Amino acid sequence: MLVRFWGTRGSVPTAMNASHMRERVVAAAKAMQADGGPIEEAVDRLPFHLRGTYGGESSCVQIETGSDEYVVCDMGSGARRFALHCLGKHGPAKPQVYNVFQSHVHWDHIMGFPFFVPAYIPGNVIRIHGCHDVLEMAYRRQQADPSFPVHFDFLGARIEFVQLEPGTSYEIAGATVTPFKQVHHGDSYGYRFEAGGKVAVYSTDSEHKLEDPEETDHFIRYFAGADVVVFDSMYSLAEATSLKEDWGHSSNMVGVELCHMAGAKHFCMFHHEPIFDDAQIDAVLAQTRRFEEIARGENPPMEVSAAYDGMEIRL
Amino acid sequence: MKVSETLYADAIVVRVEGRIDQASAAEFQKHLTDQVGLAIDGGKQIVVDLSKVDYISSVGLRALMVANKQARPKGVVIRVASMQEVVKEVFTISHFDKVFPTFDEMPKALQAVSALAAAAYGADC
Repeated sequence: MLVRFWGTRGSVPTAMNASHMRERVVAAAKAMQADGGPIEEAVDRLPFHLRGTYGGESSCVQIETGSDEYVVCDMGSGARRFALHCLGKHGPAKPQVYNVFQSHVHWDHIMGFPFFVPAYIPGNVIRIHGCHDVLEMAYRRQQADPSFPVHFDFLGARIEFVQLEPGTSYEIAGATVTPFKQVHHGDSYGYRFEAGGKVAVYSTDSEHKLEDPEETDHFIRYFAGADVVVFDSMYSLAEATSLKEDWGHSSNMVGVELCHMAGAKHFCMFHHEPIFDDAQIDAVLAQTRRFEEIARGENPPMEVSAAYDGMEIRL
Repeated sequence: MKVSETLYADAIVVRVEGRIDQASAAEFQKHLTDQVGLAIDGGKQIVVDLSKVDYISSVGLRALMVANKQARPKGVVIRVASMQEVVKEVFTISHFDKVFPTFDEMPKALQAVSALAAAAYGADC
């Protein structure tokens, strides 16, 4: 199993501007000058926020299950690059099957679909799975006048909407997929994917207060023993419990605690706060790794990462 | 976990011992809620002494935040003092240090409440 991130930013896509880029180039040049080593090696020694970027596309995560059919969670703006990847791999002439698993239909999770080129190509099949009964309405509405020039009905691919029931397991594209209900305005659903003896959990746009033991147990059950949990850790705990309480998102600390309780092996922070630059996400990652050490107790060490656009996790 | 309260002039000191986690957060919450209620009624301030707390989890911090939401609109400030290094780190990681006034030593926290509170605390220690 392989998890490949095409969009990792929360709420709204972001991009660096010219002054941000200049600051970065200057900081990187100074660090490399101080390093004094060969350029390529010096670049590799730079912190991630100077040599790379977390990117700014909204939620879109591909899961390779070993099947010929594609599996992808959410159609945020990252879906555009995912489409280019698929077309680059197969060319436009060879029909493909795409299985989309929709956490919910807030705009940042569907906005990439009008730019998902395979949807325009006859012969392709796109199955959009989800637990909401408004999936099709939401997808159609964003391509209706006056929001977009190409109506949904003009898309060339065969597009099917597949209603799933939370708590029920389905065999789809080489994986056992189990959706589960989450806490978010209008509800959201996480997905547990099991294939080839590995487990990946996609759990974004959910608020966790850990106050209600039944609710906590519900999530522990779906996170149990996961090889990776992709988790909405948009806010600090202080924000999630004060100004942004009941906004439907969670924190890095609660994610670590839940994953410890569930015996997960890898906690992957996702749905990054759009106001954070790369240096801030790097800092949050370092703090979260330290918190994992502090909170670990008798648990074995758990890997902690922060997803970035283009990152791959092989399980 | 053990919790006790002592009044020093216009400061209510809430002393906590042990871990504040899933098992104890509800009890911690109840103590804080009760003391904030007394502080509001009696025009007092709260100082939480964490010197004997070796760990606080997210639910423990949430209890502090709930108390803060109860206290702040009524003019009661919750100050947090004498955190062990690990607890201090958790405060920083959670950004609770941006919400609560924190003090390395209890006398300084009491002084921030009032000279009377500091003097009463000093006389007791």
